[in-house]
Amino acid sequence: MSANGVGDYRPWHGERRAPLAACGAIMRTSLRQLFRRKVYWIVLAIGLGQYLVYASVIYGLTQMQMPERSKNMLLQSFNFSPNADDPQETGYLQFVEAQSLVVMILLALCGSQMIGSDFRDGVLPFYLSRRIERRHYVLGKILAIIVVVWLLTVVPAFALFIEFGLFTTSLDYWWENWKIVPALLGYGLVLGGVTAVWLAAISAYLQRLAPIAVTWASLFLLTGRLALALRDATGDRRWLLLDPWRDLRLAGRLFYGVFPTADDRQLPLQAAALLAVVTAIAFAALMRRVRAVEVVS
Amino acid sequence: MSTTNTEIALTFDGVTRFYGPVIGLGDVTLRFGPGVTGLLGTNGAGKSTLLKLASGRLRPTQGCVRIGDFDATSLAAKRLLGYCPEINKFYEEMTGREFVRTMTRLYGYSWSETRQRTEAALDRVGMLDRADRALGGYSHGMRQRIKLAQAVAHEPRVLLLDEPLTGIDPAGRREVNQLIRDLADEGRTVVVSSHLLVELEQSADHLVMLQRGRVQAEGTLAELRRRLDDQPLTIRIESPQARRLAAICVAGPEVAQVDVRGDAVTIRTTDAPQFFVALNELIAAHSQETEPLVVERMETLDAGAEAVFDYLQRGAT
Amino acid sequence: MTYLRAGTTLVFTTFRRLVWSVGTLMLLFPLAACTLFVARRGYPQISDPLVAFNSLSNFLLYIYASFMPPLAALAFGAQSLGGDREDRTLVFLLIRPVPRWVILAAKFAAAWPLAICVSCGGLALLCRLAGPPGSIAFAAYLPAIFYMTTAYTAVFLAFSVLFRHAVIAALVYSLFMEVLLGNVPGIIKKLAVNYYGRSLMFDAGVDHGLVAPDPQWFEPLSGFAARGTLLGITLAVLVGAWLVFRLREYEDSA
Repeated sequence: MSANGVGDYRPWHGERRAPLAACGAIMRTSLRQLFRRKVYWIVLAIGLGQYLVYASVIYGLTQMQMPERSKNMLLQSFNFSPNADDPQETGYLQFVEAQSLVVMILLALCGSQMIGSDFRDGVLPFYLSRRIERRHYVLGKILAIIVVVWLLTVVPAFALFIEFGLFTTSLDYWWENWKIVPALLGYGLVLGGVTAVWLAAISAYLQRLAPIAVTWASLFLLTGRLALALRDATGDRRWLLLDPWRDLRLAGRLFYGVFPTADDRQLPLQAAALLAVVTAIAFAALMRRVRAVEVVS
Repeated sequence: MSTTNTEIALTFDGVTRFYGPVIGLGDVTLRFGPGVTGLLGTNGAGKSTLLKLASGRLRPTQGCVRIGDFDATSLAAKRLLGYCPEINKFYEEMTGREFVRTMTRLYGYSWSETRQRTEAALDRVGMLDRADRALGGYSHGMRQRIKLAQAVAHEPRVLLLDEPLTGIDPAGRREVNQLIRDLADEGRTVVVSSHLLVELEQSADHLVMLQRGRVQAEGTLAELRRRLDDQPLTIRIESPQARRLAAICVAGPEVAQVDVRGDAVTIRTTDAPQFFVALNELIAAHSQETEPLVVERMETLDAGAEAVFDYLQRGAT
Repeated sequence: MTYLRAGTTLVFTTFRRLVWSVGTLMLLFPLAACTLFVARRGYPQISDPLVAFNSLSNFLLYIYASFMPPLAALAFGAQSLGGDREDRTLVFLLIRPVPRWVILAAKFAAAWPLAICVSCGGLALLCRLAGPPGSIAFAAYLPAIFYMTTAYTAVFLAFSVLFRHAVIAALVYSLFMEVLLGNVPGIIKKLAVNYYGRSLMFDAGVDHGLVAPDPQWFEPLSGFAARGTLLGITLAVLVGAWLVFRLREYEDSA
């Protein structure tokens, strides 16, 4: 059959979109892969349990008659303040930070299901044999992880913010606390972007759930505890930079400008720089790993 | 199955298996004796469920499955059974030889006997000289052979092969088919599943056709083919005078439908033997004309083994 | 004899697969982090032996015991059978004439020494680095780490019998039950393996001058009761896993 003949077979009448559009398709496919898993919904439900608690607190604060003292106690016990200008507490960010455990578990699952399985089962050539480059694949996967992170953190935090405003009698709450919106977005961007790149890189190399889980738990829990212990022992607060969650929190809070503790006020720029460097290294390692052809020895 | 009761190695007695509300296999009664039995059906027809029940990995919701005199889930039954699963997963870090040796050792053989059986099984599937490479680097065909080797190493009485020819090249298929044939000739009961009848035509003595969890037909290929005789047959004839030929043929009482496309006419006949006789006479009658009827090529589109399968499937839907 | 041969083959095969797995390699990461911490902390330089012992004990109690035994059990216990389920190679075992209890016992027998090796070996390494207080701590806390790791390995092996994603279940259990519930006041912490392990550690540590925790926050069991409970958990969980495993159909294995 001539080349023309091949070309004529089932002719293409549509309009090809830019390769960048494939990122969206890769993201959707990855998310569908995850959403099919029952375990995802179980972990998500555990995570949203916390959302319900916060939602109930907001309901109690706005709808129930209680003395000022009780109100303050309630706020303090949940470490929550709905106001952007409160120098001590930033309630919605606290909520996002409180989700860290569930986010960590979910991301371990994500890494294995969304990225590890592509390498393990030899799916990568299917993606890379299309009209896309490695960066489109990587971007699609990173976007998918960001969506997963946001579904547990930023999206419910926004829902809480909206809920608080809806329970008041005017639009004043939203106008007065508008700073919360860019702060949450910025925080979400740092949190999602950094964890996505790190997770993608780790998953591309480790592929299976158990090693990803061990690494992820060590990285985000163990190092945090060790960092605190070292700070307590030596009095040098720079040890806290070893804790990636804290670094993410500090870098994210740069968008908000409120740092609850003295330690936090000292380190945000260093934390952001450290995250940037590690993320760049992780990204380079990820790009190196993503190849269409798997060399089998 | 055309076997006596003493030879029956695998028995399904009124077996039904549900997956929640979905029926995987419905009221199946079958007897499998020595020889090769082909298990045919489309995806979801119930082939894998039947094999899983036979290998004792699933329990029937109703009825019973027996291997020899033992319940299929019992250890005694598993000793008589060799199973080549459809999945293409192994302990990838092992070599082919290590894998087969490990799997053989699980039958409780001594090291020397395990080694001897492993080598014999690898030799049998033609992998003796390639068995020291890691499984992760094997081609699909080589992996299929290793799966076969681990299934036959302990010389089972009943052998269940789930899609064993998938991914094997034509030469390899001939070899594997010959191996299946040899195993059956040794008196073993071999059940081979496939969704392609052509894969089983050469080796299968009997066929069981499954559709939607039920046995649609069973018998030898010849018996099943005979069921086609009364069925419509489609014939494609290539001729420069396709339109003229179609116009003449359509008048025949045995012709049900005529379709002309370019230089080809497709005829659906309700009585194939009669149609062929009539066509011969027609061509002979027009041979003396100034522009005789020329038939360049003629083929029956659905007279092969696949047609039996298609026909039975149509009957089931 | 037949089952013994099959069982030993399975133990050997699983052991080999686990040893050379990426999970084993990644366990070196938390171990290295703990080692660097102990090296940096400089326990041998602390002049007051009681302060040094208490400081090291706090690290071992609240950080090492909270992380290494569960992580080692996750990498080996959950993966010994869970790996077969994840890789869909379980079918090759289920079609052999090997009783399910042999499969389960073999998987535990392969995973357990590895988990013990990592968590107890890690403890030995850290205690050696810690100098004199480390010698006391090692002798005092080794049984606790041993029993904890054994119990975790059994629990996570049972998870791999019950759940397809045993590692996720183990992670959820470790983080929620152990890290969160294990540290809140009240009796809810008694659901955590960690509670009994820590009780055993406190019991052993108090004799060497470890400051007992505030009973309102943490009231440890006696060493005997804690040891008995950890052994009981191990046995009960293994028997439970066997009861489920012997009847369960692993349809997903193919």
